[in-house]
Amino acid sequence: MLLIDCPVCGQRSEDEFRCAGQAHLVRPGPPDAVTDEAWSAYLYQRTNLKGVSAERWLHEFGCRRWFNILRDTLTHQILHVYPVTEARRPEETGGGE
Amino acid sequence: MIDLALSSDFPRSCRAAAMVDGLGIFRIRHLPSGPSLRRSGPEALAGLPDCLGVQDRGGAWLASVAPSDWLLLGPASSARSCLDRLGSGLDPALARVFDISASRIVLELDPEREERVLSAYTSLPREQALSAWRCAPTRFGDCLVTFIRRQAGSGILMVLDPSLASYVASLLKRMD
Amino acid sequence: MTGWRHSSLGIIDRSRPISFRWEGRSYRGFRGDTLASALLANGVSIVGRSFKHHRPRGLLAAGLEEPSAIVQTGAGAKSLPNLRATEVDLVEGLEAHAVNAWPSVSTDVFASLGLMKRFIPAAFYYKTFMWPGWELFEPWIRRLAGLGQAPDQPDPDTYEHAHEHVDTLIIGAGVAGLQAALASIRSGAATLLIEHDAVAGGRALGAEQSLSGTPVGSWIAEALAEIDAAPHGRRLMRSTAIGLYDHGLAAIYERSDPAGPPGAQGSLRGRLWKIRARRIIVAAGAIERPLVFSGNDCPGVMLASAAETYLHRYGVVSGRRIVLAANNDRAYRAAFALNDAGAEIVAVLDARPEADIGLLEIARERFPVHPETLPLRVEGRDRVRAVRPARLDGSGAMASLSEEIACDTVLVSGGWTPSVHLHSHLGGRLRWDDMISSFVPVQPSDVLSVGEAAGEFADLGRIRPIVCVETPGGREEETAFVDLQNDVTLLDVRLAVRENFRSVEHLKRYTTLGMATDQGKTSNINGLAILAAELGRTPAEVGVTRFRPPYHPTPIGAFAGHRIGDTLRPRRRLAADAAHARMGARMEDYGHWSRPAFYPQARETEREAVHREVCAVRTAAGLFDASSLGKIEVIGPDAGLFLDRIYPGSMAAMKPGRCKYAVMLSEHGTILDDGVVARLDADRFLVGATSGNAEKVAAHLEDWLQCEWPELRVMTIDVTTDWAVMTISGPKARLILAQLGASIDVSREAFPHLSVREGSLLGVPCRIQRVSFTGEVSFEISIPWAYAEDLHSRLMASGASLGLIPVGIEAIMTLRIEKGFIHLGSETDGVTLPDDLGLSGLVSRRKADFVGKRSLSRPEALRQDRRQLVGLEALDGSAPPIGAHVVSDRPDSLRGGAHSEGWVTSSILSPTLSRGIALGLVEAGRSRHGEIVILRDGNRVLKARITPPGAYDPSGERMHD
Repeated sequence: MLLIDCPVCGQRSEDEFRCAGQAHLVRPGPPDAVTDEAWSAYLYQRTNLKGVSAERWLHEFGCRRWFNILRDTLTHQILHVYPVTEARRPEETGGGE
Repeated sequence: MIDLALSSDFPRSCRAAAMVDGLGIFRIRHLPSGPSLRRSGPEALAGLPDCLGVQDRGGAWLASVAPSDWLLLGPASSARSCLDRLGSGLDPALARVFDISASRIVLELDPEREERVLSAYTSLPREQALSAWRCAPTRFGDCLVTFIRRQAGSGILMVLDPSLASYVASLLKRMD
Repeated sequence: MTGWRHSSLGIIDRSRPISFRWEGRSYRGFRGDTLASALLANGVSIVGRSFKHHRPRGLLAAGLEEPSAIVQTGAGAKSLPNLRATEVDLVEGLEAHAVNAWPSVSTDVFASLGLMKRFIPAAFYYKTFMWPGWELFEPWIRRLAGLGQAPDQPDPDTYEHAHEHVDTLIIGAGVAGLQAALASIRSGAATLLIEHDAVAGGRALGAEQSLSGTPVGSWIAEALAEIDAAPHGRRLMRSTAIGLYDHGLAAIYERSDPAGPPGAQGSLRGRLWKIRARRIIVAAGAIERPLVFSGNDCPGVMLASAAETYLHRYGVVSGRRIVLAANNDRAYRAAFALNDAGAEIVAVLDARPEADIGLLEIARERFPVHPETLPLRVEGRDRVRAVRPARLDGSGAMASLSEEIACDTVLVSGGWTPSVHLHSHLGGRLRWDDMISSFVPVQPSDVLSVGEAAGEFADLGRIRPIVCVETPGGREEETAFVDLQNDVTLLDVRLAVRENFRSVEHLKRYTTLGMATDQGKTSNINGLAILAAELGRTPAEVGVTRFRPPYHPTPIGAFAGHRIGDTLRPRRRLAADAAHARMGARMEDYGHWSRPAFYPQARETEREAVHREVCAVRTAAGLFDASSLGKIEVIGPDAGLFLDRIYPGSMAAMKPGRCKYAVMLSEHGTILDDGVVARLDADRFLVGATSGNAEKVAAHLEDWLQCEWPELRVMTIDVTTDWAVMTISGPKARLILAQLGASIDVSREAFPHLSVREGSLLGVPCRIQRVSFTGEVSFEISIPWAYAEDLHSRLMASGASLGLIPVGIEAIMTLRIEKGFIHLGSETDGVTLPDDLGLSGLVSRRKADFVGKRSLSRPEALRQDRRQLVGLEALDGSAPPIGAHVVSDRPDSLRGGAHSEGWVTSSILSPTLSRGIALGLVEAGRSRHGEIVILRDGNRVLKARITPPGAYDPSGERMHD
């Protein structure tokens, strides 16, 4: 049960949020320029990392805003919380590791 | 005064809460509804609360419940006059006001019992999230409600969807 | 000879005697006793029967690690199975009995199973009872195994949850925990101290020791007083930390005081605390482990420290003629204490050579001490009768046998195991400490372990770990128990190794060692030490099995908390809920909503009521509460543009005042939801969604807006419960509505089908949409939520004389099936595309892009044999069963058998057309109208004709009127 720092509401428990999986998915387009493979990759292919993962989260039982986080899938440490439209930040493994 | 048909469902005898009558409740939304975080709006919004803050506006209370999303509530006349004052500064092309006085239930929690109720049904860090003049949309049991704390020591207001009134009442009754 | 009550020792309250019943007989004890201590004081030896072999068992321990005294208390709905007698507080009128024994624990018929021991070793169920079929044997085996009886009535007790944030959480209020709590409080940190027991002090309770010069009893009292007085300090007793989780979360189960004032908490049995702590200190102590030798499960064999606890805390002496068998110094304390209390220490058998025995001289002044000696076996069945000691050689094997020693109690101590569970829940690592022959936490880690939980022991002395003493070629291994609760013997462990289950995790699962309700608290280390010996490796190399929450058995009700009964889920009620009840509605749960299914009159059956309601709608008018349908306002200069991107159809070109039926697609092209979209004016739309998907659709819109198109000048507002909706449908609908006096002109010319109007009604704002799900002229009247009942009663009053009646969901479903209209979840599943349902007309060919567009041209979407929406008419006029498959002669390429070409998705017996009407999805259905197909449902076979969907008024004349 993670503790997540919602950018609007502050620190809240994971059960107020919903995770929508991998962040920074780029929607291919326009449709007639997209191959079946590229579209299939967009729909189905996801990374499954042991390490720092960028994820998209929604504060469902709260302000209902979306945001991104960088989370270490091994330790569950949350390294960054940043706007959902922002590009992925370079990882600085902050102190304490 | 709104005759809330659901009032019979309410634990009027419930010591945890009492219904607040004769309330005016308005929702104020402002464009753009983008994902920008902690972004200050145009001039008209200067002075409005942000980031879950609550302000006393001449007897009515204005709460920022999300970016570009406010709840104004209070005794009907105070709320109305506050709305009029605000409205004059809001660009109608950018802002909309929704009168939800007939579609929200507002409870006031008994300060003696609020600790137990909040502890049982929310996982909020209460000291930070519900300090004086703060609000918090959050999970209560399994539904979404909005808590509004006015001055320290006052009863917390709990704003909820009317269809959930009997569910919330059942939860409160368990704590009686 | 058995246990007995000392005249003065112990901290029980001798002024408050208590009567209780055990196994049908009456006994007495005192306030402060547990069931275990009271039974021990009353001389009861057999407190349980073992899981598999039904061997008689006595108390091994005094605390939560007790493996054998598993009892059931109470009766009926209040019965509690599988409690440890050491944790059952003695209260007046307590009724308890052992589980797993019949007719009684002292004369258990199933003890005869012991004779079958050879046929039921570990993992026997993988090898035996196979022919003719395991299913024949399994019910019997299950009945014979198992512990208590689950109550078969609803639990009358309640459980709460509680959430708290603190700076420091300290787990365990023994001396180390109290010291940590004091330090934390004095530093000003918000501190929570929890303790599993009802009293603080741990093993120091009642013992005559000093701490920093103060008698330990006073020291404890002062510490508690300081903690209780601090405003930022808090103490929870009877509270067990059952698990530690990410980001400082601790789950703690607090048991109510069974002897507490009744009514103060009603029938609250327990509270599950979810604590977020910045810092967690584990002072959970350590658990003594027994020695492994033949007969070590005999009643009268007890852990040395348990005997101390029974003496100091409860004033009970475990026996009269006691042998102590140990491999460390601390165990001698038990011998001294019991000797002082009046028991005879017949002998001390110490595995270690003289030179390693720290208290040898002092001990020898009082009783015989035999170095390099351990029990070979215990004699006795229902109670210890004697011990046969064996002298050990340098390697710990048997060198010679000594004379039998008569005794009634054997106290054992094989060492101490720090409680590292909580440390391990968070992934903390362990290392083997040879000094104490145990695993200890590697620190620093996410939690701080202190005291014995960290492996810090002051008084163990030198330890000599011995696996088990055996005669060469002997059969001691068959009755040398490693895991008492699951009846796992030394033989079983060796069997697992022989069968190549050599990893500690495999050993656990193959033998079930450590899998009982005590989770191996007194057996895991012994088990892995034996495994290591068998493999010729060290315990450090063998390692431990994974620790998982909960640390201790916890009632499932505690996890449920308020999520039972009425508050299992957030049930939503319609605004006119009371009105529906008054009109006799049968309410059902549809998704989260409680809605009227139908309104039975007099003694109508469901079929009759629905029939009547359907006819009313077709001939007069029906009133339906549609308030739960999703409504989302989409507002802003870019509203049309936004909806054009979201929907496959053309939205931006809609004229204000018009509405249209639309489907919303996912990026997979599949139908996410369907509903009516209305354009209120240039920059305002109202998106309609199904009741079940309102929240999902609102979230879908916000997802795209916030994440993909944040630059758009538009906002979405979920107004589903801002507006109540009453739908009036039928040939008389217009007339009835006109009588209501809305400010809206509802005449045929002014209000065509698929229009929306705003105005006022009853002095409040209203919106009316003319859309139809029934196939008759329909008006959906929206009014602010609180006015629903008002509107409902006005409509009923206005329309009753014209034949208006309330109609429920079942009638609506019947009506829409007659029309061939789809219903999400019936005609759609996870792969249904718009064209499958004949809805290509709703997909724009001109738009460059919209959500899901690219998916509509995937090869899968373009297949010619996709299942398509059709009508199905059974030739015999019946309503085909929903889910019946359309089967062809062509065999199924994958599985053989018949190939399914589709199935029946909806089906009713139509009151309007007096025959069965069904819809289905059938491969290439649209090109097969007129074809006769076979429907199969289980063994039932039916012939049906494929038709276009929509049997009633296919041209839609009636609803366009």
